[in-house]
Amino acid sequence: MADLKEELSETMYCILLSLRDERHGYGIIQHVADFTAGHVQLGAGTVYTSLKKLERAGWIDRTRTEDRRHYYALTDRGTRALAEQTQRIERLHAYGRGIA
Amino acid sequence: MTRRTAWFAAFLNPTPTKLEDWLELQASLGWEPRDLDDMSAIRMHLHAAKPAKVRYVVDPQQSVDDSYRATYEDAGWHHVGELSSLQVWSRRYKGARPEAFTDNTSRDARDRRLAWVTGVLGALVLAGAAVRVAFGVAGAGASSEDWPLEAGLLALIGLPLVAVTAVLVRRPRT
Repeated sequence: MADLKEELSETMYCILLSLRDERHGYGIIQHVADFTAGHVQLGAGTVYTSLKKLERAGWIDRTRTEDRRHYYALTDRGTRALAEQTQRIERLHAYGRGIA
Repeated sequence: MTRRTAWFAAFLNPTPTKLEDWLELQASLGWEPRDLDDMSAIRMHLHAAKPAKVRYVVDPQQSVDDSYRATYEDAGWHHVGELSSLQVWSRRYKGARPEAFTDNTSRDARDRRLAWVTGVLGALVLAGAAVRVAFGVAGAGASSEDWPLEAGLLALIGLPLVAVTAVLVRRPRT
């Protein structure tokens, strides 16, 4: 899934962070707004599109469906990808701190 | 007047953004669509309403499930209807204009989904026009003298679809 890693956006990264615990679409929107203190506001269309993409990539999986809502959580592959992305961002941050 | 009809609104406003803006303008003038269906692309009924700020979102989705609808509805959107394969959502607002597509990646993906639909449809209709011309020139088939009119009508439908596809595909990616 090299392509998805290369294009992993702020949106995707936040969704992956949120799906360390099982959540449905709107639950993700609320959780991301909460842990980013409102800096990242996800729209319903963006979340739905992103979930489909992450599911196709095998990074998340549907865990159950309840009251019309699909719930998702990270797969092992998604957990590894999230860890790699976090390390990449930390490296970039360190580079920036070294220069600034 | 409690109802008026807008003809070819989806063709005159062929991209999601243009159709959204047009619907929002109608709402600000006191006209709102209800219960959109496949025919609404050609003939859209607008009902009189109190002028309001209403955000519309056009989301091309070939097939949707309950979870799709739940995600939008939980986020405060109202499903206006399905216009061919375009899911149309609305939300009244004050202050900041709400968005359903909040990053460039998903906005681009939305345009690509629509481009795929208009591209395939446009190509099929133009192919039909070409076949009609070929049969007409060869003098084959029933009422072969009508072929210029029929082929012209098909081209009239197919060319705008292909033009919309080109606009969506060639739009600069941000």
